[in-house]
This record gives sequence, C-alpha cells and structure tokens, in this order.
Amino acid sequence: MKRLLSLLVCLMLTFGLIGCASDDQAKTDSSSEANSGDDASDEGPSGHLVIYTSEPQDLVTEMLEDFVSKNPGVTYELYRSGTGDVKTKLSTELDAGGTDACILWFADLAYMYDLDDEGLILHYSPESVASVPDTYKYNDGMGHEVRAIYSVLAYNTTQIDTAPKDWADVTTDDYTGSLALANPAYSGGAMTTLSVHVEPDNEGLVGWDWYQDLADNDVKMEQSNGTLLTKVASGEYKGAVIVDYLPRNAKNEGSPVDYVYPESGSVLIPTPLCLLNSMPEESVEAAKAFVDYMFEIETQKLFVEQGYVPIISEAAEGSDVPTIDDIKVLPMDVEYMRENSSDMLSKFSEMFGTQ
Amino acid sequence: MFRKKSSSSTKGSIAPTVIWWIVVVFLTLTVIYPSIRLIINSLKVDGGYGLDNYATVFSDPGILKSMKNSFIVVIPATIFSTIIGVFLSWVVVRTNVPGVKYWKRLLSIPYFIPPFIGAIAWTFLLGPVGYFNKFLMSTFDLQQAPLNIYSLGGMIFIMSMYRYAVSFIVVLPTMKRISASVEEAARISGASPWRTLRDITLPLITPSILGAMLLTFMFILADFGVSSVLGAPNQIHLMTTQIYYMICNSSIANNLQIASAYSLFLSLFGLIGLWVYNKVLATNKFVVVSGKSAAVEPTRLNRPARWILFVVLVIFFLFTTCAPIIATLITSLTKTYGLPFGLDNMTFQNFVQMLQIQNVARAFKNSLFLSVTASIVITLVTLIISYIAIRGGVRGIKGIRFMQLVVVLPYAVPGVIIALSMILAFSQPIFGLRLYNTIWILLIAYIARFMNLGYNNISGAISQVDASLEEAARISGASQLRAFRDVMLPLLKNSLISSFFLVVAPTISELSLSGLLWSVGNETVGTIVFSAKEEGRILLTAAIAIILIILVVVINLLVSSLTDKD
Repeated sequence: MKRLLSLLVCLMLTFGLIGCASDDQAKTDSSSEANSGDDASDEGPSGHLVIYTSEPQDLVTEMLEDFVSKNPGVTYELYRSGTGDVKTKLSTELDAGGTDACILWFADLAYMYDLDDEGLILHYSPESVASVPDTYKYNDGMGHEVRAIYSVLAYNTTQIDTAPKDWADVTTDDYTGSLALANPAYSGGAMTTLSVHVEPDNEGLVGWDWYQDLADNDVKMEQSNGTLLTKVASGEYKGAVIVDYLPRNAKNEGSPVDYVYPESGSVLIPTPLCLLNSMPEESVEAAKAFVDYMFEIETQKLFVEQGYVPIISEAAEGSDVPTIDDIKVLPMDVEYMRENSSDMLSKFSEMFGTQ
Repeated sequence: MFRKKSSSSTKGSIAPTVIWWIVVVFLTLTVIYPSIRLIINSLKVDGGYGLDNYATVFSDPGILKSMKNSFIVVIPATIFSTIIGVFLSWVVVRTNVPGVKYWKRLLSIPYFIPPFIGAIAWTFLLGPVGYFNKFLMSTFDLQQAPLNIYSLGGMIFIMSMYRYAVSFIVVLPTMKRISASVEEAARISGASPWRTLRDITLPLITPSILGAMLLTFMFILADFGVSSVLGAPNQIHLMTTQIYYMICNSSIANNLQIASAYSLFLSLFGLIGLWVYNKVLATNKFVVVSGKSAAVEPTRLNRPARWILFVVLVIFFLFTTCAPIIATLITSLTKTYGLPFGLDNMTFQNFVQMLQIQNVARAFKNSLFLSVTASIVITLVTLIISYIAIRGGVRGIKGIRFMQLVVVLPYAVPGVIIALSMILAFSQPIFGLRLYNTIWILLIAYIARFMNLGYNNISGAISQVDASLEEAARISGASQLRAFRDVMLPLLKNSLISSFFLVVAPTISELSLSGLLWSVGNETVGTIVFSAKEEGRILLTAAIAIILIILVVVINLLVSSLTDKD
C-alpha cells in the first residue's frame, strides 16, 4: 500500500513538475517576446493581440510568428477551433461580461454583421485593398477577405469518368447515395453556399429545385469539409460540394481526387478578418498593422503555398492556383442571408429530414 | 444496526471533518458554482427570465426525435456492453482459461482508444468502402455494401464492441475479491461451473455489476465521438449530437440557452440511474467481500471448454481491438490517401510531419499533466465522498446526498456545455484571480466532468466490503482514520487503481471541453488531433492517434505492473 501511495505521489510530482516546466516555458516564451519588445526601437507598433480564428492552426501560427518577428513590439495569443466553437466561445464571453479577443477571423459573415450592428467592430481599410474588387470587402472597412475560398465540386477520379461541369451534373444517377455536402447547420461555409444557391437572383441557376433533386438522390451530410475530402479520396463518396483548396492540395499530393469550378458560378465562402472595438487602446495599432501585413505580397504568397486563391493576384504567378479574376462567382446577397438563414435552415432540414 | 450505533457514539477526531470541508469547498468551486451559472443561463430568454427554453426542449420535433433515438441506442448498447464485460471478467479472473495473466490487460485496451478515433477506425473496417464490406462484396459478388454502420444499429454495435471494456474494468477487481469459499461450497455440492456462475457468483457481485452498468449507461448516453462520426452522413441525431447541433446553429434564437436547458434535462437521466442504483443497494445486503480470503481458486473447466473459451477470446480480441488499431496503423503509414496500401504507398512521413506541428510536444506534456493530476485528485476526492456516504457517521458532516448528486451531474452533461458553464463562471476574474486562459481552468473542467467515473467505481467497491472488518479494528482501539487506512485502503487498492485508469484514458485525449477552453501554451492532444481531422489531414490524424494509443497503453502497463502484485 505504501509503495502504491508513494508511486502515486511520485507520478503526481513528476507530472506536476513537467506541467510547471511547460508553464514556465510558456511564460518565458512570452516574456522574452515582451522583453525583445522593450528593446525594440520606437518605430513599429507594440501591444498584445488576441486572435480568434477557425483557420488552420499551422498556417495562422506561421503568419503570426512571421508578423511578430517583423514587429518585435507585438505579442500574441491565439485561440483556434471550428467556426461553431469560436462563435460559442465568443458569444458566451460577451454574455459573461467581455472578451479579450482583438482580431476575429472565421467563416461567418452574417455573425460579423450582427456584431457590427451592435457597434462592436472597428472599421479599418488599409490602402492596399483599394484595388481589390468589392466582392471581397464588406461594409466599408468592417472586414476583408485576405485570401479567397470557394464552394466547388470535387469527385473521385477512380469512380467518375466524366468530370461534372456544373451544379446540375451531380444530381444524376451516377451520384445516387454517394454525393455529400457539409451540413449548413455546422459549417458556416455550407450555410453561405445554401443561401447563395437559393437567393432569388440565383434561383434560376441552382435554387431549391437543385436541393430537392439532391434529397431525392439520397445525398449524404458531413459536419466538416475535412471529412468530405477524406471520404471522397477513399471513394466512400464519388463526389462532394467542398471548399476548393482541400481537393487542390489532395490532388497535388496524388490522391485520386479532382475538382471543378462550376460553369454557372462558384460560391465565395466569406472568411472576413475583422477587428473588435473592445480591444485595449495600445493594441489597435498592432491590429491594424496585422491587417496591412495580410495584404503584403510575401504573406499572400504564403497563402498560395497552402493552396489558397490570393486576394492580390500577382502572388499566384508561377503556381497552379487560379486568381480571383479567373473564377466566376455567384452574386451574394448578405441581407438575404441574414434575414432568412433561420427559415432556410428549417426548410433545409425538412427537405433532408433528420432521422 | 450495530454499525450506525457505533459510529455515532464514538468521538471522532477533528481530522475527518476538516477533510470533508476541504472537499466541500473544492466541489463548490469546480461544480456547484459553474452549475448555478449554467442553470441561470438556461432560464434566460429575450430580455428576461423564464421557462421558454425548456418548453422548446419538449416541443421541438428535432429534439424529441433525438431523445427517441438515444433510447433506441443507449439501452441495448448498455445491456450488451455489460453482459460482454461481466462475462469476460468472470472468464479472466475465475476460470483457468489459458493466458489469464495477459487477457486482463489485453481486453481492457478498447477503453484506452479515444472514442472519435475508435469510430473513425471502425469506418475504415465497416464503412461503405471499408475492408469488411469490400471483402464481403468480393466474396459474395455483391453490388452494394451489405453492412451499413451509419445507422442506429451500427451505433449500437460499435458502442457495445467498444464500451464493454468499462464494465470489464469496473467488475474485474470485485470479481477478484469474492471469497472463493462460497463458490467452492457450490462446486462441492455438485453445481456445474455455469450453475455456480449463475446462482452464486453473479448474485454476489450484483452491486458491482449495477455500478458498472450505470457507468456504461452514462458513458454511452454522454457519447459524442461515435454518434457524431456515425450519425453525420444520414443526419441521425442522438441527444448529445442534437445539443451540439443547437450550439452550432446560431440562426436559432437563444440557441445556447436552449442547449443549456436540454443538457440539464439530459443530466436528469444520469440522476435517475443513480437513484435506481442507490435504491437497489439500500434494499439488499451484499456483504460479499470479506477481505479474509486472499487466494482465488479458479473454477476448473474441462479441457475442451477451456480451449473453446480461449478461441472465443482470441477471435473477440482480434476483431474488437486488433482490427481497428491495425486499420488506423495502416492509414498512418499510407503515403497517398485513396490509393491502395502497399509497399510503394508506404511512408513514415506522417509521423515526421506530426513532429513538425507547432507545439505538439507541449500538447502531449499538457495532456499528460492534466490527465494524471485529474485522475489522482478525482480518485482521492471520490474516495472520501463515497466512504462517508456509505459508511456514514463522521461527525459534523451534512449534505452528503447532495454532494453525491454534485459528483454525478456533470458527467451526464455534454462536454461542450460544461465548457460553456466554465466560461460563464470563470471568464471574469473572481476575487481578482483569473483562471481563464490558464491550464487550471482545463484542470477544473476535467475534474468536474470526470469525477463521476471515480465515484461510481469506488462507491461500488466500498459497499462490497463488510463493515465488520473496520469495526474489529475500532474495537481494538484504532481511530476511525487508522481503521480506514489500515483496513479499508488495502482492500480497495485495486479499485483505486482501476479508478485512476478510468479517468486517465478519457482525459488524456479529451476533446469537447478542451475545444473551447484551451489557449496558447495550454493546448491539448485532443484539440490537435481534432484540428487535423477537421482540416482533412486524415493521415496525420491517424499518426497522432497511433502515438496516443501507444502512450495510454504504456501508462496502463507500467502502473499496473508496478502495483498489481497479487
């Protein structure tokens, strides 16, 4: 018994120490950043940035590290999770009295508009976005796309001989029971796709009829685009409606996957970068500098390396990534989405029937 | 009778009371205060408070449907898991099946595989293009995959194949401590091994089986990994996934408040389970474990029976444990996903890539620290609570029933909701101290959520130990603490260890709490695996999963080989 107890105590101490060690390490990391900030010259912004995002963690961390090395006065904290989780955390914090977040970057444009209506968003437009088309800028500096992703059609090349050309091509018998969508209830991107597809202007191109055809064809649902990609690659699904960069990267790695930008138009999935009003005064300059940084050509090239369509088109030169000018986009009516998202979702779940 | 009289009449030292109050303060911080915040939240409606959210819970067709689905899945899965688990623990401990020593370890492995990883692994096997379906299709020349795991039946099957390990782990220690003399008596009187099992062994360990069943029930009720992976394609929602659906679905007004209300309703089922369990314990006397008999005489089976059992165990083990792990291993070694696996499509690159992820080492360290610390704290706290609850009689102690509820409640609530209540409770400083965005908020959340695992297991074990043993010590002049330390603790040793493991496994890969509560420097393995999966990096996901599985199995083997000397 004694031996058992002492073993437990030892374990506790060991891991306690490791825990403290990692704590200390984290602390020294940040304090060394802070120190180097003190040493820095007066030029350049300083301050602490807290970023809430749904972007891939490695990508965001790489960018932040790069940004911080160029702006030594700045320190950062990052929270990364799925769009649903990020929104839940943020809303609950706001409910409980306030959030630390300074920068928001996730795929829910309607939610950002809600926050803007409550006066929580800090408007800022860097000079470098002047030439960017309006499609990629929101509400007079409320937020910007810093790279573009689109809803497209992907398919498994071992199972599909003739590539689909447009949305209508995936409702055929070839895809019965083996076409999948991301569920709009979980995925902000899928919600946008649904809204753009059924809004009155596009009703003739895609519309609810298309969704009814999918429902009749026993379409499947997944919660995330990542799972869609995995299952298209494995052949479990012959095709999927998915964000473009995933099948592009999988194809480049040799998986039996290909994708097309539909002829009648792809859907832009807005992932705006926005700033919050509530951030401390001293962080504002750093936050604005971070927005500027996003549009620098080197940063844009980082996006291209990850398979994203850049906002500044010259960054795509010499890669297989298309530019925003190459891609036909279905028009998006944000007001329609904000007013009708609840109705659209109930109509959607009625049509596809939760079981 | 005697017990009650003796304990209330003795002058206890002050120590037990002090220990008790420390526990009370601790539970207030970790469970009671966040729960209150959650209850208040569930009553919030536009511009005021009311019961509207609860009304929604009982009228929304999607929610009602998910309740029905949950019961269709949870009840049979609980029954199957318990039957399999109890049977296996009997075979391993009380028969002379070949290789007894190894089966104990091997058969508990499924418990250590994180649920969502296990579910993905099973889809590699039983999914529409999984190995089994492909095999069946080519063997019988079928056009369609014959097995469909994306169904309620699929969930029942996978959960049973996976959760039997809970009752196996819980029942095993008690099974070991039944005094062999009772079974022997039956055998001598001419009863067959099966008859002895049915008429003597099973009734004797009823409290332990019920405890295991309750725990399995709550495990399956609270399951998120399996039901979200298998339910997604055909939109089959159980209660937990429906709650997550509400949480994500911000276009519904008051979605977070409705989700809170639904979670509190869900936790009722855990309480009902506890109530039934307490009722059964109170009406029956189960003084089984005398603690006086150390030697376990196995039931002697004849040669063919021994080997038939052995083959059954081997097949069962290969199917439920090896197959999913091997499927995951194959994926982790694949170079290009979607192409057939073979030597030319094999690589260790995914493991190299894993090491290149930012902070992956720190995540493993954090998860180890959180998981081991949470397990130790939980084992100690639940030992104190269940001892006092069952033996009673420590002076100055009130509210034990309430504390029992407090311990059980959080496990029945989905992790996301616990995380939500933690944000509500701790995102603003309390007395100038801010735990939010530190590793301590994660630790508090882990302890609160998984306390039930330890409690269930330990209280079941204590109620099986004959009080006369401690009384003997007390009569000989030992203090209450001393009697507890010298008599009770040694008898509970194995149950304490199994409690430790019950908590270590789910905490080390914990996902739903960490998802909302982690911060830079405090990342956990669960969040890293989940991100990889969400980003469609299935090969990387599999590589991390393999490392994680190896890690928990090694901890398991290490600690049990150091402690399990009997």
